[in-house]
Amino acid sequence: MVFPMIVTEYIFIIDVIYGKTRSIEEDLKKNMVMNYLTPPKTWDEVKDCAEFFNGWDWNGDGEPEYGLCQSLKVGAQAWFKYLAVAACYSVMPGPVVDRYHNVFHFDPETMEPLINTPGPIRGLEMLIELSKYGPEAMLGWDIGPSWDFFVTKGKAALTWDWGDIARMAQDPKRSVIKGKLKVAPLPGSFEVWDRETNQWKKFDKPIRCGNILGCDWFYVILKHSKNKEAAYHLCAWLSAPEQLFKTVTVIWGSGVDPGWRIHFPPELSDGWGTGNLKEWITVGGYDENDAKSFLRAVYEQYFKSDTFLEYLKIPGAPELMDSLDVHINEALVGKKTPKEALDACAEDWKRIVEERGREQMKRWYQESIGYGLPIRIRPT
Amino acid sequence: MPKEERIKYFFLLPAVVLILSFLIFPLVYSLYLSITDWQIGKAPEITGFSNYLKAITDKRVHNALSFTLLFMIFTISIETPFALGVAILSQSRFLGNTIFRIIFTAPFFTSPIALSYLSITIFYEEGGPLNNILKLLFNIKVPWISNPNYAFLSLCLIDIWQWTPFLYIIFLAGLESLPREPYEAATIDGASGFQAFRYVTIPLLMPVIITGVLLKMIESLKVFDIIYALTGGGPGIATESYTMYIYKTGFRFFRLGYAAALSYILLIMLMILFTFLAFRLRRVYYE
Repeated sequence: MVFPMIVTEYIFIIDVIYGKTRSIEEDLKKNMVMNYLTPPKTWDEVKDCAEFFNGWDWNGDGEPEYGLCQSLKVGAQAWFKYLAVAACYSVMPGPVVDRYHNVFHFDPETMEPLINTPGPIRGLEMLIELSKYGPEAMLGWDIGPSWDFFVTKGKAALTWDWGDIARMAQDPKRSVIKGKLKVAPLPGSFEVWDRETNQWKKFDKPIRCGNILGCDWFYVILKHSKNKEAAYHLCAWLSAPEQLFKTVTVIWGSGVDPGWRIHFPPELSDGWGTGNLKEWITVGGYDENDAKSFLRAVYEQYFKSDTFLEYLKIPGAPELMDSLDVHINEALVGKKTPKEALDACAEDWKRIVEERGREQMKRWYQESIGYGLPIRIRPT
Repeated sequence: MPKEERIKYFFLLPAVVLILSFLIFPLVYSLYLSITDWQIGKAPEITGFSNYLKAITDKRVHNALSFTLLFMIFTISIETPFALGVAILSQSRFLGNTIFRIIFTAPFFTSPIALSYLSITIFYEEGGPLNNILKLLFNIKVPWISNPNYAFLSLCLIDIWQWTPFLYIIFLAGLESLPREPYEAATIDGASGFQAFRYVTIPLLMPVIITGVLLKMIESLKVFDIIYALTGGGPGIATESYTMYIYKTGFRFFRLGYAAALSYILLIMLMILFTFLAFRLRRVYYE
């Protein structure tokens, strides 16, 4: 799965005809809307965009809308949303996965947590800033209410979320934003924390960290299954190109994102893909502009990122992520500062690593991140 | 032994099997687990009482216990007088009394998890019915779930909504079973309604009240479903109950040994509480 960012675009002509602005300020803002509808390249631009769209009626329904919405409830998916913001400040790109490059969670040599280094702290500071431009209620939202707010109610200008939103937006019965999507890969940062020199390293262009958290749906056949062969054949059938295409495109469906060459039209994937855009429209029911925007964003997320953030795939990961989830939520509600929250998280992580055996955890962590291996982020 | 006598053991067998399977075996096995460091993917090793010692210093245990105790005290403090008041009012014969009793007790017979998920809609901050009414009347929007203090209040309100009928049923049954003679004597002695309530009803009803409060306390200490559905223990860990933490420890972190130890600590706390209150109840009853 990918994690593209999605921005809504509303048809401004309708707003002008209805004349629903309530003040000169809103009138002026409507004239500036186009300036803010280019997909942001950094999280600072996201903040500017969210701030602009927050608190006024930009869709003519008589009520003020919000700049963004998000699901930030503890015990749900908030920590994914935090990692999406924090990664670009924290993961230093490089050709190889080594001690200082392409790592996020732990120092691979010592298993010291990196969660309270300046990169993740800045990520949390940014998330707290961004949360000011959405409804306060989102601190208690799981993905359901957040998706509903964005897709069904159209009350927020932007969000960052799983690719499911692009699919749900195509549902003619429930979506109010079909045909109004702009989709982009996750924004980046001009600065990344360099642990080797202990300072911020500046770049000429935004460094983007492709987010492949959740990028691993797979079939499992239980060893106690009575009909293993039948199960295998079912899985094989579901993986056939025709069936998989339906799985990928079906509305409110599978949660599986495009990822095969046959899903990407060549014109949207620099010639790499072998898919057909018309199938997305006729079979998948997509609006043409939405499909183009979505597929291009997915392709760029996979193959135009400078580095990647992956799942933490070691024993104890649920407990480590729960600690992160709880502490970032404490910072979001103002109970702790970002540094206090992530320091507390780092203490938890140290304890968990010690309890499970530092050396063993180090071996597992190094294996899970491909320590010492080159990263491959170009299509083959 | 004659065949006719042996048959009785055969009839006892299902109950014995059930008790052994679902009560005795889990109790004994979890006691064993509580002295190991068993985590999924790792063979259990006996570590003695280290899990129990860890629980004493675990800040999250302290937080969970604090929340649970506060939740218990707050909800019982409101539910008990509320249920008693409604039960006393409900004793009088008025039109619609039966319908009232049915409607009032309906939440108790609803599945707690269903009520909890319904409450997500009720407390939905951006356009839920409660905030819509508050906005209409007072032009305010309350952060029912996103604010730690209001999240606590939301959970208490759901618990009061669901468990007041339980206490109401117990108190009503108790009130209906009270003898009439002390009231007649009090009337003859010139006691007012309040005096009759204070000096006759309360003392006579005390065993029932203590029983109801005791049962509710045990239930409050185990609160889980409404928290799981509504707040997930958040914001942060502001509404994380003790059983919620046990659940996370066992089924999310897969630290089964530590979760078993936490469960035993809860069992011991409940046993102490029950023993104390049962002893108190006995004294009140015999007084």
